[in-house]
Amino acid sequence: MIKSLLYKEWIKTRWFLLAIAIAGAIIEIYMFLRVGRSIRLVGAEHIWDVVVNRDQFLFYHIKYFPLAAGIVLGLSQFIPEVIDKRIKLTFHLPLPEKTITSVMTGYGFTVLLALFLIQYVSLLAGIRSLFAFEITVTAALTLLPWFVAGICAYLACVFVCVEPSWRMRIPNFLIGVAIIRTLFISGFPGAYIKMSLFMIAITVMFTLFLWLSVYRLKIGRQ
Amino acid sequence: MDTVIECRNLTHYYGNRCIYENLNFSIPQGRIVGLLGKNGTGKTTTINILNGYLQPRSGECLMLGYRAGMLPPTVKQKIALLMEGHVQYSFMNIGQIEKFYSAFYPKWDKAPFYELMSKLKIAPSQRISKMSCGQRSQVALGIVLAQNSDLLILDDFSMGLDPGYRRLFVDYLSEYARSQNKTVFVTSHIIQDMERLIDDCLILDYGKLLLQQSVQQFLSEFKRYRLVSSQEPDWRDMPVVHPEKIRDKIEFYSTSDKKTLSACLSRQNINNQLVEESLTLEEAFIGLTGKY
Amino acid sequence: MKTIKAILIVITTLIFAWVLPWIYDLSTDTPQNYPFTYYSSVAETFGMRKNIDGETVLKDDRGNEYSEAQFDSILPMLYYRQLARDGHLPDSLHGVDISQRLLSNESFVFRYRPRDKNSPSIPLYTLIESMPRRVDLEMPGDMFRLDDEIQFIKPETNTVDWDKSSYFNEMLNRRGFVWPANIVAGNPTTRKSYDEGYLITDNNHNLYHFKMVNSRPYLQNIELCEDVIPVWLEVTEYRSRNYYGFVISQDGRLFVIHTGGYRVEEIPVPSFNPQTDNLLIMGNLFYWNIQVTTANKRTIYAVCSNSYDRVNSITFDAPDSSDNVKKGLFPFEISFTSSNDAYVYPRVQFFGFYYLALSLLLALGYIVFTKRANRAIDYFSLILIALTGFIGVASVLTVGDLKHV
Repeated sequence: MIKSLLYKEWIKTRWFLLAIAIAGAIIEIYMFLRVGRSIRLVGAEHIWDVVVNRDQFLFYHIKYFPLAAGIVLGLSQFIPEVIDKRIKLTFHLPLPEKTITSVMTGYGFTVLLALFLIQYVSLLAGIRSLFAFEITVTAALTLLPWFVAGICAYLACVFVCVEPSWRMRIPNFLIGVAIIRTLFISGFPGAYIKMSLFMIAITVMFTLFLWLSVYRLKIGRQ
Repeated sequence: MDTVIECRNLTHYYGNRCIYENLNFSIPQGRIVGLLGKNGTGKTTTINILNGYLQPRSGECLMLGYRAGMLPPTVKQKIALLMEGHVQYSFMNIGQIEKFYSAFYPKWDKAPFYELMSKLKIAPSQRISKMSCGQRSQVALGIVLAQNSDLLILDDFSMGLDPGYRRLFVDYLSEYARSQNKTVFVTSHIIQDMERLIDDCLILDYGKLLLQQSVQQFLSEFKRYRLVSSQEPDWRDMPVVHPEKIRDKIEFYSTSDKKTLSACLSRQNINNQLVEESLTLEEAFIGLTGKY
Repeated sequence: MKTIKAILIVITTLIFAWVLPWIYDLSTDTPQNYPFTYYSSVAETFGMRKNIDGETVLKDDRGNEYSEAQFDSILPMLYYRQLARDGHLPDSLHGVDISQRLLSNESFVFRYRPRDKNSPSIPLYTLIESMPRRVDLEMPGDMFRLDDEIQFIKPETNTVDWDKSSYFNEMLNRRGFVWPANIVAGNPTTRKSYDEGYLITDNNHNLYHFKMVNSRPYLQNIELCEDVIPVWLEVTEYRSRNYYGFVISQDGRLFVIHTGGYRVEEIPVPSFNPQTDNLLIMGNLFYWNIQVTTANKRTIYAVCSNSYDRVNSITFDAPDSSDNVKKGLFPFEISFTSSNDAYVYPRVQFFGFYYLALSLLLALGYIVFTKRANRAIDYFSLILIALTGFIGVASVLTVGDLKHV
């Protein structure tokens, strides 16, 4: 049954996942083409100097991509469920609601995490091939909140979409925006080094919050 | 006979608007029961309460002996649901949706599903969202039938269907349910064709349940009477519903027999040449609930 | 579910504690500037430029007001270019022959902000040849790291130059450098008139001057008093070549390193807090204007640039920034950034208990309202409102109370 539930999620999301994967690859390739060109034009030493001494981050084009990817995946999974209250069909399936929600959200979370990991690691591998270890570490720290924002945006989408009433959907949306906004406050390289616990905390929080929406849907709040 | 659905003292309000108060009904095993009512009388509300998507202000519903909203998965396997508007996973095609559902139901029988599908002129890879309303209704019905469950709940299945599909739906469902001794609970605000399907009817009016009995009994007792008279009878003394007088033509409905009614009219010195008319379910429904 | 709802309500309250004060500031912020102050080597008093209601007022510490031209002339160390153009630059001052060139050479500005220290940085450094063959400084074609040894990395290939690294390592080890380096300070740019490399402290807080001369490492230990633990180093590379740099110690004392034999001199200004206070030194031929800005005041010390004697000081209290409306509305404020560092993390600033008056009133209002609406009082919301006031109400209004999940 769980396999079948995953099959449904796969049918809903497969094209969007492909789009996210392709878009991510295009952005990464574009960024490396740009940096590669800069290195050819002005020399690697100057680029390193700009990165190290002028606090420039060269891979900023990907900044809002994970956020968009998280939202796209969340919407692709849950908009079809919410339209015509299709989620009632889903919750009528002979599985406990908790299992259904966990499988659906777990699917999106895992797939998104896997995609992000591939993108994150390949990006860092690319950066490491051009730059010193120290620069790569700072890049990892700079990129991390953006990817965490993507994961949180996905969870926030569920939190907002599954919520049955518009009266609460709007506050949920605003709360999601506010919390995710904290991950985009500063673009200073490495600024989020002290935020690792915070980032874990908000991810856990969104995971908790979406259960509230599921519960409210289940008991028929309108 | 076992009771499959039981609702006790169901009361629900949307805000201050009373949907119904102290609604009681039960549905025995093996019957096809129609919950009939005009729009807004609480048919879908009842379905939502039964499925646990709505908590009634008070009262409780039991389905197969379990409290609505707290059905264990094994019980859910025995209940097939057709949502209002034939909502299904429209991002799938018929092969995908059959494959999807088959995993959930141990008694899954794909034969009736594909049999129904073969009647539709659709391509195997065609997504449900690209189908016509009628075709979608058949897909939803096929899914419900293939589940081979003990109880089928169909919420307003006739909505948006053209007559051909409605007839197809009703005939197929009726044939299926009777041959397999299934319990079916349907709601509808379109009464045409219902006579062919349902055994018992529950008629909801705003705020209350008007009637709960078998269609046969209802139609044999509930009649329309006509008479011609320039004087309007004093209806307060008479067991009639929805009397209407247009010029000198008088029309009313009643469950009382012609003799009793004639006697009432005689007492008022009114022409008691009553014409008794048997009714179709639709006519009886209108007679009972009124035209407005 | 109640627990999750309670978390949601609390988080919403915290979001309001972040967003609402921010919106409040956005709509009420006004500029709050200290007057510009500079010690006059002519009038021997502080000249001040104030902005009062959009009008610039030029005066001194004694209350005399000046015209613009007069103000230029009492501050020749600052306005020498203007004076020279107007032909009013004196030939000598305090018995010293002066020229625009001399004044320009002897003037410097050193600014320290806590943010400089409290910022994430990439621990890679550029070691420029201090004795270049040609006139201009040139980038060396590599960068170095200093963790358990020195390693030079070539950006063009992203590989370590092992020969150069081991050559430098040997020398640093011979001089007793204790790895890893603690503070590494330099000005890795070729846009300066000369290069003095780096000031470095090792893991034992020993201070070194490190540079590359004729492709060879140069490492010189600089003696500091034992109680001086540097937290910030600055290589000055000023045109006058009088100093190698500045040292700020953990306890907020300021030292200057002279080029003559690495003599270290403490500047006689009271110690400040390097974590929160800003330091600005505007030096000239005769005096250093040392400006220390804390959260609630700014003091400018005039220090003789030869003897380092403190000759005068003036203190300004911060323009009144205590906002009673804000304190009455909000119990606390959450912000994620600060002007004192470049990190992002939540910081809570309490405003005291002024808000309690409003919050108790709101709590009372909540009780009255729920009674009127014939509903049971949600004690969680009540306590939240009593504790946080305005933002608690906003939160309960937004996401509802705990009674209704």
